[in-house]
Amino acid sequence: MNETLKAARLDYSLLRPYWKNICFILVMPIVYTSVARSLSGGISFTMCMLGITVSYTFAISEKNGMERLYGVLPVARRHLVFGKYLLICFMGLLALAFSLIADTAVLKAMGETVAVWEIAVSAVLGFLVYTIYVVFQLPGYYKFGVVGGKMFQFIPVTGYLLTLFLLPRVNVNSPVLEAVLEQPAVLAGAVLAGCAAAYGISIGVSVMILKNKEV
Amino acid sequence: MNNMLEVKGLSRSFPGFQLKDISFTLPKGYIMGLIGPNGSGKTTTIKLILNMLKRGGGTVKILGMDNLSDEKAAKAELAVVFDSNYFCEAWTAAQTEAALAGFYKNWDTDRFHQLLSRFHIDPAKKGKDLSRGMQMKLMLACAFSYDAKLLILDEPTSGLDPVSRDELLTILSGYIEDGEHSVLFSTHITSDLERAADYITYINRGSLFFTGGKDEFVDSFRIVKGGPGDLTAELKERLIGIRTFPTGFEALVRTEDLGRLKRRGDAEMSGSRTGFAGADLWNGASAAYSDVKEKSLSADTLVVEPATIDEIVVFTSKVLEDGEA
Repeated sequence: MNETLKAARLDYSLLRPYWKNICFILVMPIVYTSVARSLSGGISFTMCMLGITVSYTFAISEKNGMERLYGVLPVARRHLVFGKYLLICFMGLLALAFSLIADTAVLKAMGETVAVWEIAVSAVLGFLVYTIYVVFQLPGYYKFGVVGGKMFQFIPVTGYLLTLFLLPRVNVNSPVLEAVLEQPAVLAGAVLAGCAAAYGISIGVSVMILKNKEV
Repeated sequence: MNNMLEVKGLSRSFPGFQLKDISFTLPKGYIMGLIGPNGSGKTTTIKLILNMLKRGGGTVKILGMDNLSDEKAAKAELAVVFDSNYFCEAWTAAQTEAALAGFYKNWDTDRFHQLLSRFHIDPAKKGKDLSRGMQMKLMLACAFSYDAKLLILDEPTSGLDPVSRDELLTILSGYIEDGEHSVLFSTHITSDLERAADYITYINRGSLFFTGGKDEFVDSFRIVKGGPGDLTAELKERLIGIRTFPTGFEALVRTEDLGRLKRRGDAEMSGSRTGFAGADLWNGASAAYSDVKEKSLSADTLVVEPATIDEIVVFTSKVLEDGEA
């Protein structure tokens, strides 16, 4: 765990010069929420924007030829992967929490009613879509790099557009949704378990790719 | 444990290039030059040592530890300086320390700042704002801050001005002074090694050509120069990588083959082939030397001079090129 934290810290230090960009990315969805007046839409937008930043550490490493540094450091390659996932997951949770609070506050300030179930569903939705963006992008970047794996950068945008397309088509009065919402713990548990499994598989694939990668 | 680095039978194949059976040993307290022309396999050898490439065969021991099974422990004891900065260019020197220090239990922050001061590096300056020589010094400062026992340098002097190169050699000499540290110094600028190296490992076309003491390597060859009429068929058989000009020729010759030459130069009659490997590289040349005692060469106008490492590499590379042609 200690090595994972060190690797996460190394990746964090790569992002340090880009914190202003990331903060800007977090503020933009608040504007979107105030215009669209939709909490789940705003959260989806936040997670999409943050999903795009997943490529940052890879891009910085590639630009600086830092694969040589990773090859020299006394740390197992799997810990480098664990560290990156840990940081990205942590950033996702942080952004989700910030967005939930900020977007809810903005909507309430504008006189909108935000129900608790709506906040809960938005949180679950946000975590789910972010997980989908991350678990597909990271192995792609490990395998092809940011330049070679450019198509993976479109995953968050595609995911966001799909969300926008599908959300209005959800029948909030459907018995299935009502049944699910009656048991929010089951819903949250199922999503968490699904996300954990997806992260596990994605991490396994990334470790395998990095172990076999030659610098 | 007297050897800092032991490489045995290291091999790796790529399409169009093969690194074959590379073996050498770097004792504690010495500098070894890893030489060879561009594309000869120096960087591949270093990457195999660092497990950045997967080896096809052989073993590598760093301070007695296997570079695969004890990779983490081995890498904690070594440092690498490449030809260009491999830290994030947006990092300041201080941020570089913050990012790396956690990985090394021996990291000494005070020492790092002392080294920055000694190398005149501003801790607040970003990597991209440092000159190439300063970037190299930053990598060295990091290496010395955790007291790396083995320092591997991959073409560190290419792109450096003569003053920076001289400074680097002075730093390296100080680094090994206590007899507890060693340096593997890959370069194709062999003049750097004339001054600094104790040992030479010479790789050409992916094959080990020589490994051993630098003096032994240099003493094993001489440069022969002569007029156009001196280059007889008999002499040609004993020369390596002949260059002909309208005014004459120059070539490399093994010192042991000088025994039968009447010369005007200052070459000594001694020399040994101990330490040479890959005799197949010499093709017909080695066979020609075997009967040297039975033949007597006479060339009154021949000049024999000591060879530099540069000349040895150039002439022996020419033999290989001619052999391929």
